[in-house]
Amino acid sequence: MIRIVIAGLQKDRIKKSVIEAGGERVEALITTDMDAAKRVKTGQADYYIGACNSGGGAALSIAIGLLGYSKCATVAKSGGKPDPLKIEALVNSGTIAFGIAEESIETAVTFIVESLLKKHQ
Amino acid sequence: MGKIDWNSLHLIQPLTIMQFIVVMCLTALTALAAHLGKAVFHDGIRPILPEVIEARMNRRELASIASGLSFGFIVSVGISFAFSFQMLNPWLLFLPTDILGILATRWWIALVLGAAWGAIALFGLAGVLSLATMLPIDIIDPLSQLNVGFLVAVAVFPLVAIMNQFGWKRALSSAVIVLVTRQSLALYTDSGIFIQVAMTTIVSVLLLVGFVLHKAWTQRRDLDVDEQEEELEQRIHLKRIVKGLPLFMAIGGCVAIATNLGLFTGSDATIPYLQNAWSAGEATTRGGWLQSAAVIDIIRLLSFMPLIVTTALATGVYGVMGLMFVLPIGYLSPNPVVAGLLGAVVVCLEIAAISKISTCLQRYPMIRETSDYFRSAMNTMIEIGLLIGGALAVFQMESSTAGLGLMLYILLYAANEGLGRPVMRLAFGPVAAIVVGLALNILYFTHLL
Repeated sequence: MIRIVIAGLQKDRIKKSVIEAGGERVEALITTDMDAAKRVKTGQADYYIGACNSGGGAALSIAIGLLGYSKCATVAKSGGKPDPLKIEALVNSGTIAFGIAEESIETAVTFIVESLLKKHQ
Repeated sequence: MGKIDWNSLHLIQPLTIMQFIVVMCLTALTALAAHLGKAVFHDGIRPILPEVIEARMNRRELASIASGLSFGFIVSVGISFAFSFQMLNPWLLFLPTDILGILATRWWIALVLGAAWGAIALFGLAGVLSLATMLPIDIIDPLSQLNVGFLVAVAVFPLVAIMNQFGWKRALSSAVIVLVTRQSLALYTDSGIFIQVAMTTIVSVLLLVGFVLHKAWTQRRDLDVDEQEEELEQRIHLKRIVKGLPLFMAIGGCVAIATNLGLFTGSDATIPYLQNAWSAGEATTRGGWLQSAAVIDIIRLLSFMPLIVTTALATGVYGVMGLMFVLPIGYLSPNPVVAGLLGAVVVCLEIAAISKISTCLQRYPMIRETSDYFRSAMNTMIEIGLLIGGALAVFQMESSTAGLGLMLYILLYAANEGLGRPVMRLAFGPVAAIVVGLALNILYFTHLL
């Protein structure tokens, strides 16, 4: 079971996409950015997904502060399409917090969860 | 080709030396703040800046990250909002000065680049607007229709927040209350439209705040958050922010003056209110719009406060406009001088309150949760309002061939969705309306219209 915490804007949409992509193999919890980042830091959750307008602002700023910049990545910027190969590479290189621009929630979350499932087979 | 109609452009008509100086000072100072690592506008750059300050990353690397994060925003939101609403905005001014300040290798280079950007933005906007008035098919006037959708959508954003946080039953009953209030005002008093819109906003905000307080009361518990280690680090970071106080006060003063001059809008949600205010002739009407803008701004800045305060204390890097109380202070002040002085004072008070606010946020996690709902709802409503406002605008541009502009607009929407939204949803309305306007003019020049 992969435990994912969700923060930032449009959290309900993120959760829906996580459940759709991961089904029984994921557990999704909606919370606030501060609580979510703390949970990941203390091991109560495995991954962090957050959304905002640009994908790198409110979505990730607290996660970067708590988890460190190297553990966080913006996977879908505003005005750009999320790239499944890049997301897979990020997942494999140990990224645990993902920021998404609001526009790309559905596509990006699907890619992230699929890559996570592959990694944790 | 017509002559430039200066009277239709309220931005550049009174373009004075003073306005230039204020904008250039503002952008020079924000670039300096970014260069010194004291404050940036983009929330996402704030936590990365310490990497540069502590030399784990070089300036070029961070600048490329910053431009990657900001580019879509500057191009789609910054430019299209400035053109459509004839006011400078923080995405157009401060996202580039973040990048320029980070890129500059010396403090004075940051100042020069920042000031240059301010001049380019103001000159560029005024120039493009005056060129646009010469187009045979007018687009400037129809673009004011964007406001119509924008205004009514923003006015009731709290109802959406209530629905998402508290369920549809409470949202529906709140909607009924808001509607009855608004219509009673319209029917039984001689209040103008702005009082009706303002009351709609105020009543829905009060309902939302009521539900939040009720929930906070029923869930209250005493959380003893005593994390010594974090507190120590926060105190060091707070000291760093306090050291930047003179710079922040100067920026605050400039922001307040620019806002007071009607040159600058600090937040997206208040744009339609401010635009109505600055184009209103009568002083009382203007005051009404400005007060409504203040209501929206205060709610908006409350919803951003948790993020700004927490990241500021976690990283020691502040936001260029602070907690943004300086914006309502700017447009509510009677003149630029008072605005500038009060702006600087407010920035000071905000910093004095930061650690209190932070303790409050730790004790009541509800505030954080609620602020996410606020921001989500506000965003959703601005997107819808501008989408429909854009449709109204293009509808006004086509006089001879009915339906052509709207058809192009709908096609653009479908294309944007199909291509994975290269234009952000937030900016789609203004961007598409401008593109349609230009397309209609091209058709005119090629004798196809």
